[in-house]
Amino acid sequence: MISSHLTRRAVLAGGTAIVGLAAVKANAAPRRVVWWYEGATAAQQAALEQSLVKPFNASQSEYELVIEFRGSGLPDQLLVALSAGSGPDIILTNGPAWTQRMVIAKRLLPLNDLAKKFEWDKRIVPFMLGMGTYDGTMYALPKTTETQVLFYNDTLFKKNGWTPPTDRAAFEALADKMIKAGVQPLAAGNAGARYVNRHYVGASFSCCAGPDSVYNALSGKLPWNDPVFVESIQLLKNWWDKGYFGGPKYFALSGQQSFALMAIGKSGMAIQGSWAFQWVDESFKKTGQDLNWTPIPKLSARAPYPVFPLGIGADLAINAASQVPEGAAKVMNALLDHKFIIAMSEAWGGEWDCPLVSPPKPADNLDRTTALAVKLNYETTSALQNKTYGYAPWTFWPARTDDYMKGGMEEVWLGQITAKQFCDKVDEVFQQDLKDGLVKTLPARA
Amino acid sequence: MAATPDTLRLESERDSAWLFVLPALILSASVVAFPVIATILLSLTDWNGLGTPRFVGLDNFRALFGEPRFWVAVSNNFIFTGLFVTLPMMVALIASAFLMIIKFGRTFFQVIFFLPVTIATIILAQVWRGMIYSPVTGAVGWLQGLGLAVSNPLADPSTSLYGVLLVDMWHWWGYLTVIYFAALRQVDVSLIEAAFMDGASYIATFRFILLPMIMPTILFMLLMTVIWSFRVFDWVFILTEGGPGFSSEVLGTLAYKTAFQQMAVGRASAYSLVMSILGLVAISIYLRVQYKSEKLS
Repeated sequence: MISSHLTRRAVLAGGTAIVGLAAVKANAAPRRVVWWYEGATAAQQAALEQSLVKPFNASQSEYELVIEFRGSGLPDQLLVALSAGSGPDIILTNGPAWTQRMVIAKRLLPLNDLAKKFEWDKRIVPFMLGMGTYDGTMYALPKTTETQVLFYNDTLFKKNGWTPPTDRAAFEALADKMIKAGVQPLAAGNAGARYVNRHYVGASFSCCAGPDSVYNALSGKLPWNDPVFVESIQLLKNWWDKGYFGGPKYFALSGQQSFALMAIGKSGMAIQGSWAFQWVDESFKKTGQDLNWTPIPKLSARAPYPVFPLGIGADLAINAASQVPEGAAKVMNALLDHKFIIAMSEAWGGEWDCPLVSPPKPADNLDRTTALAVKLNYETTSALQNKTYGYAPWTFWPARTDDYMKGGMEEVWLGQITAKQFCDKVDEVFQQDLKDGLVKTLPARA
Repeated sequence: MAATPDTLRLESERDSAWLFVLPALILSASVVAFPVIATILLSLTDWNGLGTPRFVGLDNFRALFGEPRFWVAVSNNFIFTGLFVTLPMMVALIASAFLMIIKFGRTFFQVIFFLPVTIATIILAQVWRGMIYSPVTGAVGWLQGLGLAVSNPLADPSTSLYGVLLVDMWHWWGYLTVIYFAALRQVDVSLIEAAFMDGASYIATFRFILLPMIMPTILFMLLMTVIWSFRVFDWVFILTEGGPGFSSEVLGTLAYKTAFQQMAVGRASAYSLVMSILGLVAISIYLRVQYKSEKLS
């Protein structure tokens, strides 16, 4: 029963006003752009919040960026979400092999129009942009370029009068010296990250078999059990048997833990990816020893020097089901901003090196680690122009072949199969992937 | 013999008893039925998890039966189950018998035995890998420093599965102990007293009185253990990811990697179906044994 103080009309008018105000408020509220990211430490999350989320949200009122950190289970969650036709607006994939399947399943938005609008086609290195293009349609941008080099403990080297090796003979001679001195030659470990095994396969393929051989094999013109690849795998087996990888300790240590052992001088070198720069705070900065890097040595007479095995750490794409594609594109565009890249390179090295045609000029007075990372980024970009690049497995190999290499390499190391048997199996799985249309067509090297 | 009002009432109650089970049955069936049907159907396709599934008939099963990794995984599952079903059960029975006779500290020991069950698998696995098995940071490394010839079982293909098994058994037997102890405490005390008065030792009493009385519980936990052991995934995945090589691969890890790393959901569904069939065989055997024992009683 309505009070005598309030007429029915007054109540209806008030109610309508409230509903109207709520609708106006809803329409005025920024539309959420959701990005599922993988794992990140608290400091890394804070850096992203500071350098991307806050500035992006403050720069306009139409969209609100929300980043959800989903941990190492992100690929599985994305697969399930996209399969159900849902998922975040911005898709972070594990690279071209993953992106390709999403493209085939029509889960990603074509980016050609957005690329023109934001001039991505002019700002990003064409080779890398091409890895996210399928049949002339662009679907993904490369988030970060990665490469593999030989990191080493510069303090340890100077103390012992060692010089960074540039070829196989020098590398093995140095490794043998290290063993005699009680230093493990290679800081290596795959605990909790068994996929690391194929990093060594890729490095050996590129720097022993040679990038041209790898290109030909990835194009289906050369089988993976060709003697050049068998030699590359046998080389890794020889190193394992000599104790360069630390023997059974390899299975007990994670990559980060083994890197920390290098920081205290218990290991001398590490064939690692450029992402290793983000481990420096917890290792070399704490021990006060100096890190340095050199290209992976020339591992055979046929291979050129230097060779930088190139990879794309992750792809960025827009969900075909996204209701805010323009907002997602604006976020992706913000990642190409020089100010953002410089800030994130200092806070979270090795993860935000988008391959730009004109990368940002590094700031003056960089600390040692950042200077090394910048130099590596520069060399990586030059490698593309000079054709001194190789191929990283996580970017260029199809998923099934890539998966086999992770476990198969252990079988070789442990003497369960031979290098030839490993290569036979890689070829068998790869040829099936090729037949199924799962191998990305590569840009020509020439 | 003529039916009495009581027997008629009992029969009527038995006839309508299924109505009380029906709601729970419908709920369970609806939650389980769809994934089971989906798995069966997907196992007949080459679906990659994203596109449109394409029917390939029995190709996935032909491929998996010809895949060496599959047979390694099946063999590992059987080894795992064989040891996981027997050893923890024996340890748990001994521990629960011990709990029956101690006068002080019974609750304390129950808590200690049950503690591993309450801690997340990921934490326990990391503790075992980093603080016990590791030759760098763990007890194995410390023992090696003392000159003892011990090694990390997870790093050797011949011992990796047993290294994982040890951790899982350590995690599981405490749970069994608490269950068996609870069952033992339900046994009529007068039976035990009568046995003692007749001069039976504790071991004889345990063997001839207590054990038969808790046999339904033992059989049920045996069934659960068989089913859970066939489903083993988390311990293997966290500790070894099926390695080194493929030495500790089990059907669970094989299915997961096939689905999410190779993106071959159809083939992974075939692996899952095989796992389920093996579990069903175990359930059938249990139900048969239970039916026979009910018929006898």
